[in-house]
Amino acid sequence: MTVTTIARGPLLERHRQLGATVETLDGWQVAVRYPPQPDRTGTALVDLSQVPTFEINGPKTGAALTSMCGAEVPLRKIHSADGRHVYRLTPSRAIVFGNVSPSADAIDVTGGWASLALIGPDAERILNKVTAVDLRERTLPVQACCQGPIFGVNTLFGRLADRFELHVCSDSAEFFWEVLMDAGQEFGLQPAGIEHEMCATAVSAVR
Amino acid sequence: MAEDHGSIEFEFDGHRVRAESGQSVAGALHAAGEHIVSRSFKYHRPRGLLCMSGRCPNCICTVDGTPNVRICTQAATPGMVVKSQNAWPSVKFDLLRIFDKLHRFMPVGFYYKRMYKPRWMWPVWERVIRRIAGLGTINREHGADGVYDKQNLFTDVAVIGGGVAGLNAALAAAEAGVTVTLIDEQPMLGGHLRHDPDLACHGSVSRAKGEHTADTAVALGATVTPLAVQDINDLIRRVTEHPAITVISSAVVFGCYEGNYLGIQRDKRMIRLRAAQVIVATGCWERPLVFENNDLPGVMLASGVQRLLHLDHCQFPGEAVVVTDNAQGYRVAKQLAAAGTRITAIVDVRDNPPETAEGIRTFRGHTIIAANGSRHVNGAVIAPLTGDPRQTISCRWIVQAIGFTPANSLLYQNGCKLAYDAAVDQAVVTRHSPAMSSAGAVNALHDPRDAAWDGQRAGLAAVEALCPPCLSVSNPSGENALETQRHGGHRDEPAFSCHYVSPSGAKKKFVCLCEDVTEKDICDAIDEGYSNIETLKRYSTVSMGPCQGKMCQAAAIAICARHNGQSITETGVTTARPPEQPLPLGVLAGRALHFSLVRRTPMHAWHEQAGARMGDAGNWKRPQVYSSVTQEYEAVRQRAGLIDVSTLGKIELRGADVVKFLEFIYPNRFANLKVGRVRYGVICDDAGILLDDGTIARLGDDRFFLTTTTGNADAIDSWFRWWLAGRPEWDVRMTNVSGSYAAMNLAGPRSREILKKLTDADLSSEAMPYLAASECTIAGVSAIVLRIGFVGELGYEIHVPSQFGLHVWEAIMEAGREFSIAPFGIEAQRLLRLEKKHLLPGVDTDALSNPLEADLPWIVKLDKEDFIGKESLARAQQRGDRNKLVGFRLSESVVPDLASLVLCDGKLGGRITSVSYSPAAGGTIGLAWVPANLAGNGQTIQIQVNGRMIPAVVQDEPFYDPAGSKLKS
Repeated sequence: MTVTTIARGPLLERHRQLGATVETLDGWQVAVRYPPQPDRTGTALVDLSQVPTFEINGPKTGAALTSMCGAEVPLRKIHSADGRHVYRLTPSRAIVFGNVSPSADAIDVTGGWASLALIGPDAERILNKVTAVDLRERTLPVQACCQGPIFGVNTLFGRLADRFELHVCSDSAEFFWEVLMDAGQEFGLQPAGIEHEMCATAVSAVR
Repeated sequence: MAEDHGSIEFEFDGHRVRAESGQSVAGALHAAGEHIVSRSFKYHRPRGLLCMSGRCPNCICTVDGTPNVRICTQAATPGMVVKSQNAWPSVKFDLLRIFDKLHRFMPVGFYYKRMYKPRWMWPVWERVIRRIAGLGTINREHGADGVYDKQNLFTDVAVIGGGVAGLNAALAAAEAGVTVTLIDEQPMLGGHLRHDPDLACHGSVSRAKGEHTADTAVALGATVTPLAVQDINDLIRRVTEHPAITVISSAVVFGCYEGNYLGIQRDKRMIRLRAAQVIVATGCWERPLVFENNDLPGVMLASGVQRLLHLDHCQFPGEAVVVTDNAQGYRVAKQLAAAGTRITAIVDVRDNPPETAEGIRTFRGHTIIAANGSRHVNGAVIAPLTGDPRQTISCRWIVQAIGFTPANSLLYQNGCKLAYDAAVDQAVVTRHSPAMSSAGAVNALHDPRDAAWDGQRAGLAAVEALCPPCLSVSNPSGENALETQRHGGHRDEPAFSCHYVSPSGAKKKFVCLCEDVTEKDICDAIDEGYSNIETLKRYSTVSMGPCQGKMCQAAAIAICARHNGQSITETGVTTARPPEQPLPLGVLAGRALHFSLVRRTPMHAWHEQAGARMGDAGNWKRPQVYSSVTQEYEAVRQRAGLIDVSTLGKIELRGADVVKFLEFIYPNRFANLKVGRVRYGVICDDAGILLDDGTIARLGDDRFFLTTTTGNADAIDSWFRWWLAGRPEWDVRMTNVSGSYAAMNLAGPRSREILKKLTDADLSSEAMPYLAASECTIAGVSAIVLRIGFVGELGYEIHVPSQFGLHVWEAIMEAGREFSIAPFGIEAQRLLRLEKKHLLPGVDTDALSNPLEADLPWIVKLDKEDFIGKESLARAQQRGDRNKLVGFRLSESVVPDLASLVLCDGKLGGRITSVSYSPAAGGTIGLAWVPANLAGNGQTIQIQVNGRMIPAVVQDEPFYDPAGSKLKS
C-alpha cells in the first residue's frame, strides 16, 4: 500500500495563521519564510521542529557518542559536526538533533521535540524575561547546554555561536511560542522561516 | 529631576496645575500653593508634603486611574490626571473631618471592642470602614493598565543604593574585575548629595567619627582614593560609564530572599536578581519628631524641604522655624534663607551645639511642643526640654532636622543580626549573613567621606569573598575596625531621648501618619497589656500602613521603651518582611497570558475545526464532546468511533533486565508475556496503594512499550527513574516517548474493516487477536498497534510518531466515512468504559485504595519473588477486605451527583465514584465504594439522592457484553 505521508510540526497551524509560506520539504510541511522575513541584524524566532531528533540513553551513552562524534562529548556540552548537534545532558542521556546512522542505538523522538532557534542581539534579554536559568555566556558558553523551566515547560537550552536553540516537548510548543513572542515584543522579535540566513546549518540537517 | 525648564500642565482634582518639565507632581503642587494633598486615614486630617522621598504616606494620590501613587516621586507629565483620595466631598473640604472631633469615641483598637457584636454586623462594618478609611479605589476597568513583566538577571556583586557608599562600593568591586549591578530608587544617582549639596562642606551629620574605615579599605588593597564629595559628578560618570557596572535606577529592592535573591520593582517590571554578593548601601531616611499637630501641612522634614528647593526648584515663601539636633538643620536654614525664606528661629535640642547660624535667632536646649494652625501651620510653640515655659513663634513652615533612621530592613530580611547602638543612636549590624555586607549610613557612617571609604571597603571585601586569591588580608570584612570606629569607646544607653518625642501631654501627637496612631494610643495599648513591640504593632496598627514603619518605627519603639521602663535594646524591633515598599500586585503576578501551561495534541487543530468542546485535563486540552454523548456512544457501539488518546504517558524500555524491572514494579507477572502481546497492569506504592494503571506491550525480547494514564504520565516517569536510580547495574534503558507518539483509539464493530483499508498487515482475529501488540504500517506510517478495548468494543490503540498524528487521524476518518465513523470525546468514553466496569485511577480510587479492594484481586501475584507493595498487599489480603469498589444498578432512573453517599443503617458506608445513565443497562449504573459485607453480587445498598434514599443492586458482571465477546471478536 503506497500512501503519501505528510509530517507536520506542532507549530504548523500557528505558522499558517501568521501568514508564513509553507512548503513541503522531505515530507515535512515547513514554514520557509515569513512576510516580512527579518534581516540578520534583527531578533528572530525560527521553528526547526522538522530536524530529525534522536535520544541515546543508558550506561553506554558515552561510548556511543564517542563513536558517533569521533571524540568524547563532555557533560552539558554540544558537539556540532556534519549538520548535527549532539547535546550531552547527563552521563547516561544525550539528544541528537540531526541524522544518525541507523546502526546507532538511538530512538527516534523527532515528533516529541519542538526545536526553536532564537537569533539576534536581544535573544538573551528575551530569555531573561521568561526563565530564571542563568544564561550568561560565562555560565552557558558557546557549545554548552542546560535544562530549566520556562513557565512550566521543561526547556533544553543550547548556546551556539550565532543563536540560542530551545527544545521543548512538542505538546507545549504553541504555548512556548506564544510566551517567547510575547516576551520578545519589546525587542521587536519576529517569526522567521527556515530560509532565515542564520539557520543555514540547521536547515542543512533537514535537506 | 527638573532639568528642562519647559512648562507643562496636568490636572489635580479637576483644576489645571502648571509644572516645569521634569518637576515632580508634588513639587508642582507646592509651587502652585496646593498644600493639602491628602487626608489622613482615620481622622481625615489635612496632610501636606513631608518627606518628598516616597517614604511617608502624606502624598498618596490616584494618578491616571492608578491608586496609591506617591506623587513626590512621580514626574508630572502633560495631561496627567491626579486625584486626591480618602476625602469627601474634596480634599480641601472633607466632611469626614468630623472624626477628628470624635476621637474620644475611637480609641486605640476600638474596632476590636465595638464592632464584633452582634456578629452579623461585622460584614456591614467592614464595608463602612472600607468606604471611609480606604486607601484609594481600584478601577476594575483600568485594572490592566499596561503590561506587567518580569526579568531575571545575574551578577557577581549587587550594590543596593546609589549614594556615596554605594557608588564607591560598585566602582571598587568593578575595578577589581567582577560584574556589578547597582540598584537605586532615585532616577539619578548621588543619594543625599543630590539634594544636600552643602553636605560635603559641612562635614558629618553622624555622631561618630570614622578614622578606621580608610585604614581597612587600604588594607584590602584600595588603590583609588575615594572620590571627594565635590567630585560626586565625576564619580557618577565613572560608575555609569564602567563596562562592568549595570545601573538600574528608579528601581526599588523590595525583598532580599534566601540565596541573595533580590526582588526589584522598576515601574511595571519585576526584576529578580541573583547576586553572589550583596552590599546594602541603602543609606537612611529622615525621621519626624512627635509633637502636637506634627501632621499639619507646613510641617516638613529638612530633606523634604531640600528636595523641593534643589530638585524641584521650589520656594518657601514666608517665615520658617527649624527644629534640629544636628548640622543639617543649620544647612537647611541657610539654604532656605538663600532661597528667600525668613528663618525666624532655629530650635536646637542640644545645649551646646558646635554649629552657629549668623543672624538667626537660635534657641539652644529647646524643642518644639506644638504646631499651631488648622489647615496650615501659622505658628510654632517651643519650650525648653523640660516643657516649660512655652513661647509661640509665628511661622508658615516648621522644618525638622532631628536625625536619621537607617534603611536596614533588607539586612533584617536576609537574616543579618542587628543591635541598637546607643553611641550612634541606631541599630547596627553585629553579624552579617553569608555573602552580604553593608556600607555607609546603614553602618552609622553618615559623613560622606567615611561612607566613601566604607563603600570601597565593602566593594573590595565582596570581591575578596568571590575570588580569595585576588587579595590577601587578614580581616576582609573589616567589621572589627568598624566596630571600634563607630563606638570610639563604650557608652551606656541614654534615657528616653527628646530626639523622638517632644515633652507634652497633648493628645494629637502623631507617631504613625499612615494609620493615625498617636503617642497616647500607644501608651493606652501598652496599658491594656500589649506591651510587647510585636503585639503593640498588631493591636495599635502602628507601622502597619503604607510606609511600613519608615516614619514611625523609631519613635514607636522609643515610646514603648519609655512606657515599659525598658531600654531600646530590651524593647527590640518588629520583624522586617518583604515587600520593603508597597508594590502593585500586578508586578508580582506578571503576565496574565502565561498563568498556566497549555498542552495540545497533534490533532488539536482538527478537533477545534470539528467543533469539539474542549476541556481541561490537567494542562491538556482534550475534546469533551463533538456532537452529543448519545450520538458518539451509538457510533462506537454500533459502527466505529475514534478518540484522541495522545495524552497518555508512553515509555519505551529496552535492555536485558527490563523483565526483571517490570516484575519488580508491577504486582502482576511479565516474565511470561510473549513478544507481540500486551497486558494490563497497575502500579502500587510501597503501601500497596494503587497509583496508576496502563498497558505493557512486548515488542521484542528486550523491548517494551508502556502506557500510563494522562494525569500520571510525569509521576510514573519519575517513579520509574527513582527505582532505576538505585539499580545502576540493571540493563534498563528508559525513554519517555509521551510526546513522540500521537495515539488514537479506533473502536467499534466496524473498526477492523476501516483499518484494513489503511494497512497491509493481517488484522484477522487469528493473526491479531485480543491483547495482541503489533508494529505495522498504517496509512504509510510506522505504527505500534495494540488490540485493547477500554470502551469494550473491538478496538485498536494506534501509536504513530507525533508528526504523522494528524495524517493518520485524517486517513482513518476518511477510511471510516463509508462506515459512518464518528470522533468521540472524553464524556462518551467515560460512559462506554463504565458499562465495562473499567476503573479510572484517581477517579474511582483514592489514596487509600489497593488493587485487592478495587475489584482487581486477580492482578496481585503474591507468589512472585518481590515487587513494590508486596508486603503491604500480603497483609491486606490476610486482614481481608474492609471496603470494596463495586458496580451498582440504581432502582430509579435519576442520576445522582458524583460522591453521593452510600448509607448503611443510616450511617456513612461509602460513596459513588462514577455514575451515568447507561443505554446498554437501560438505567443508572455506577461504581461505588461500599463496606465489604455489602459488596456481594445482588446485595442492596442505599444511595442518598437529594436527601432521599434510593436502593441500588450490586452487580459483579460488567453492564455491557459481560462475556467480552465483542471485545474479542
